[in-house]
Amino acid sequence: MIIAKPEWFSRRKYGGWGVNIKTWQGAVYLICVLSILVLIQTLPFWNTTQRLIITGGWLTFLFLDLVDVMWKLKKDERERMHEAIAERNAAWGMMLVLVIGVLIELLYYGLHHKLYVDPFLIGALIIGVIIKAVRNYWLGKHD
Amino acid sequence: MGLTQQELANIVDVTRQTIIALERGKYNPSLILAYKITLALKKKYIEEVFEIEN
Repeated sequence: MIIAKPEWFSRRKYGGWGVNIKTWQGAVYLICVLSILVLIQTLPFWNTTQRLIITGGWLTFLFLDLVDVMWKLKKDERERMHEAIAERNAAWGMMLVLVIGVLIELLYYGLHHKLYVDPFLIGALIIGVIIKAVRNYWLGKHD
Repeated sequence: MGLTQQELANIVDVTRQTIIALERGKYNPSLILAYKITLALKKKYIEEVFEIEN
């Protein structure tokens, strides 16, 4: 735990990933971190590079704090199963769009006698394949 | 037993929604959860609490 506590938040189910504010402490936390972000942007005695570095550092800290909260949010076995199914379906949807994107790019550039696919599309698919393979291997060994 | 759904949920460390889903037969618990609930209800056998529906 860095600053935020898991009991201040609930898992976001219907609006993508992340957390929702559950208690007033969560609301205060959000107001404070956003205020600091605004403060960083408005204080006059930093140049652009310093401001970028400080903003990046603060955002990194907030991201880690959020990941920590999400990691520690309590879920029972039914909630874990629901989340796993929802995440799997989301992954399938994203993979479908990525594959369609790759096919469209191949077709488009193929018509122009070129071979090109956006590396981020391929990268996302490859990373997905690697994560799935590693996880299946690990689960097969340990579970 | 006189336990409320929330009390049972707290004892076996699940949400009240999970207890409601179990009561309605909409969720099949893991063996460990079934065992915890059996103990919480002071029963000896899981079959006294849960039954398999065909």
